[in-house]
This record gives sequence, C-alpha cells and structure tokens, in this order.
Amino acid sequence: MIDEDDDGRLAAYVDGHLAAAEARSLEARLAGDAALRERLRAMREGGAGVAAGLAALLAQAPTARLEGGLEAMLRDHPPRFARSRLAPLARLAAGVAAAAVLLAMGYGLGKLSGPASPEAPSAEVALAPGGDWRQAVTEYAALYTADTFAGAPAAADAARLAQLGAKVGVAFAADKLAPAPYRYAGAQSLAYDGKPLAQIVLVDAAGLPFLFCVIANGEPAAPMRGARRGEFATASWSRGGRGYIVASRAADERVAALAGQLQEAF
Amino acid sequence: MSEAGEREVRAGLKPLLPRLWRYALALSASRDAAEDLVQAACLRAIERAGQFQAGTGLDRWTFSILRSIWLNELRARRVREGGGFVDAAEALSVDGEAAMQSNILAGQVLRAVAGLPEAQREVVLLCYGEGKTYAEAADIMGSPIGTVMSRLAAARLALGKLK
Repeated sequence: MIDEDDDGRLAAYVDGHLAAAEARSLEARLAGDAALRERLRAMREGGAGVAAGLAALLAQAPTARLEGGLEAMLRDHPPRFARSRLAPLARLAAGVAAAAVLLAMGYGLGKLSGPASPEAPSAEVALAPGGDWRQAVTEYAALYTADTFAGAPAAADAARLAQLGAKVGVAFAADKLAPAPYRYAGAQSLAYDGKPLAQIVLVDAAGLPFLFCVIANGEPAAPMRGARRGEFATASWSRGGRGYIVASRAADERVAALAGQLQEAF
Repeated sequence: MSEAGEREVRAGLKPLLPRLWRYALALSASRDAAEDLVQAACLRAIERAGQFQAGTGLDRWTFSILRSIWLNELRARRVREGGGFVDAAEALSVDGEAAMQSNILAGQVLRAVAGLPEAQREVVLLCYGEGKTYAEAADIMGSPIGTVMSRLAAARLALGKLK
C-alpha cells in the first residue's frame, strides 16, 4: 500500500533530499515491493527533462523590455539615502505611487501585451502640500543629473503629451516643445497640493536637463520674471489660471531665452 | 534602514529579471501577467530597498515580494477582470529553432508543467528550475517541508502522465 507520505519520500529520494537513514529504510522496502518500485520509476520519469525545460525558458524572458521598465523605475525612485540629504519637499516629491507608475508605463493589467514604452520618466508623483510649488519643482529637479536622461526617447510620445496636456489644459505640441538645440527627454504627471502639474524635460546637446513645468492652480496672471533658486536658474510666469516655470542649472540667460520661446508657444 | 541593502537591491535587480519573470510565469501561467508581476515586484523592492539587509539573499527576498503581490493582489484582480489563465500552455513554451531537438523536448516538458495546478507549478519551478532545497522552497512558499515533498511527488506523477 503506497500512501501520500510514501510518494513524498520517493520524490525526496529521487531528488537526493532524503536523510540517509530514511533512504536506507526506503531502499529496503523497494527491494521487496514491486508496486513501490513501479511508483519510483513513474516518479523518475515524471521529472525527466523538467530542469532542462525550465532552463530553456529563461532565454524566452523579455529581458530588454523588463530592463527598460526597471531603469525607468530606478530613475523615478532616487535612492532613499540620497534623498534624505535633500530638503523635505524634495524627499516627499520623490514618493511615487506604485500602481500609478505601472499604469503610466503601460503595464496596467488592461494593456499588458504591448511593449513597454522606453519613455522613462513617467509617473504620478505627489508633491508635498503647502509652500511654493516652484521651489518644490526645483528641489525635485535637484535629483536630476546629466546622466538621468541618457537614453531617453528621441521623440516625444504624442499620446503621452496629449494625456499630460489635458490635465493642465495646455496643448503640448511636440514640434514646439523642444526648440533647437534642445531635445525632448521625457514627461511626468505630478501634483502639488492636489493641483495637476505637468513636467516636460528637455536636454541640451550636453545632456543638461531643462525643466518646463505647468500647474493648473488658478493663480493670477503675472509677467515672466527670473529668479535663482539654489543652483537653479528659473523663469516663471502665470496666465489663464496656470503657473509656468522653466528651470535648469544652466546660465540665467539660457533659461530666460528658452522660457521666452515656450511662453510664446504655450 | 540599510544603505548597503538599498544599494544591493538597486544594483541586483537587473540580473534577476529573467529568473523573476520565469517564476512569475510559473505562478501566473500567463506571459502578459508575468511581465506585469515582475514590474510590480521590482517597484515594490525599490520602494522597500532600505528594509533589505545586504547579503541576506536578494533573490529570495525579491521572490517573496513577487509571490506576495501575485497571491494578494494580481491573481484575484486578474480573475475578476476576466483575464483567466487560458493561455497557460502557450505561456509555458519555448520557441526559436523548431528543428532543435532540445527545444522540442523542452517544449513538451513545459506544456506538461503548464497543465499542473499553480501550487505544483510553483514548487517545480523553485526546486527544479531555481535549484532550491526543499527547506528553501518551503521558506519561500511559507509551507511545511512535507507540503513541498507531497506537491513535488504529485507533480512528478502528473507530469509522467501528461508528457
């Protein structure tokens, strides 16, 4: 009579995981029990080729797509220990909602089959309430380096831009977003104090990031003005119930010039 | 909080991706769900990287995260949304050079594995794919070793009939 415990012992025996004493006891039983020997044979046969089959499966992994998604996540989630040295607003700014990241990257359960977008920076981020949204933006931008957007897509994703623009009421035309010599490098959907905030990242030929952010917060119209915020040069203005800012570690004049072009376009 | 742990997680996830995907595939028996599951597990691991103690087995830690997300979040949601597991046989398959005998055999084996219940697929993957000991597999699955043994035995007998 072979019971479930015998089956478990036989599997462990085949796998070499049975303790020596138990293995000897089983072998003694096998010597005098044809049914048990037949069971052992079936057990061996059932496991044949399984390890090789599973090993072959590894080569089928969509590695490039998975790596692209991982790299985007790592970019969106700077190391906690690095963040802890930043101001509180920036620390909160980097807290990304898990589900939202997956959805933004096209990994939502409803659309699993398509390839992951290589457009890395794409996330729903909640900036801390209170304070100055422009300061929060520049603190968040302090996490960016010239390497952050290396490998970013060469062209803007029109659908992504349309989605982002709808949140803040701006039609982000891809052809006007990145006047030469700038290149589009990504977009993020953020929020500040519950108000939607769109962040477009441009880079220059050296990879230096320039942030263009728009928040739909109902603030009163104001002309463009430049300001230094830490290591960032900024140029900001307001109109139509929206606040705009361009920020970069570049020289004030370059930021002002780009801001002028973007103000005219949007 | 461990800075060394965070560093290990951030640097160590990439080489784990194919294995995580294979484990996700064994659990979900669906290629699209597997990809989703790996992404979700990586995100969770990055968010909790500071909780990981360096040198304590990143693969085991990440496998546990992936398993937890599957059991507690994605499986129920997938069933609810009608995703089902209809593509199990297709999911666990290998393609490429059809003429290669090894791939044909691997395909046969994997189709048989796809026919196993989820719990058996998982233990087969952990022990025969990942090379985990029974104790390690039991630890990841949160089950007694006896359960590992009985599931492996049931899987072996079923595979013998299915192949």
